[in-house]
Amino acid sequence: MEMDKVRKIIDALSIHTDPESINVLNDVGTNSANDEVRELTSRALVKKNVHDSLEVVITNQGKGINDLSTVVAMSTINELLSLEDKTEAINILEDTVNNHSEEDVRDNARSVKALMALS
Amino acid sequence: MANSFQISNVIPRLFNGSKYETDSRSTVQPVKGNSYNPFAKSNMKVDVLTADVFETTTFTGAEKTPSISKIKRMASTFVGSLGEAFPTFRQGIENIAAFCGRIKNGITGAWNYLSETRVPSIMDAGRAIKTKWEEAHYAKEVNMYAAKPVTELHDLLIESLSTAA
Repeated sequence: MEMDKVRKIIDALSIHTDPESINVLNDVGTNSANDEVRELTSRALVKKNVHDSLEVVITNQGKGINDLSTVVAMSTINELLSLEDKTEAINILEDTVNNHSEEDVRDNARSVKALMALS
Repeated sequence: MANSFQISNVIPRLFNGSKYETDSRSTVQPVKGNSYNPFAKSNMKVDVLTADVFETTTFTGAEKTPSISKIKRMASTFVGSLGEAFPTFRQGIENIAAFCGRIKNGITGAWNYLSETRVPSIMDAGRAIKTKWEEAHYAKEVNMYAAKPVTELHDLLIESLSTAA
């Protein structure tokens, strides 16, 4: 029952117009020990489809597409591929591939960028 | 050769046979009594029945209560005669049989249609309505949360996560 409430709050934050909602999702959701909460948070950040929210799930080690949980990473990638407007996501992926310090993050970004180019 | 065949002698006989031929029926004496024998006019030299071959109209006491076998025989005769004597009636029976067959096939087809097509469709429609209702209810609650300030949602999220864990 509480998990259902968590899901509703995260969805509410995903459609909230206040930019502070991104910080709440980043601070509380993506750092949760629960895989399901991290998955819901990453998808909510992708749905917002703004620079700050996409940067969280693309460039941060251990979050979004770089999450240690395969389910969370694949779910985030699937949400990225489902975006109607992929422009901002592709720009961030290019910046990550070219400029990120972590090799794993660059490899992941390169793979996701290739998938998005094909979709 | 006096009796030789001549066409001139035959032609009058062909067109006026009664004048030359003897009526064989006139030589047969009618049978006396109340009987009528159809073979009596045929001039076939067979024994002639002088009595009526059909049952008389006089009833005995035993015949007033006909036996079961006789009733069955009469009934079967009646039904058989109906089928033979009234083609329309028999055709009507066949039409009724065909109609019953169509109704039976129709019921069977309707049942198959219901069991194979309609019932799952109805169940799917029910599930779809339920899903739509749940989605609408979920969206309503999400919008209710989205109307709250982010700080309040932050507190609610932390509280819910601590309870869920």
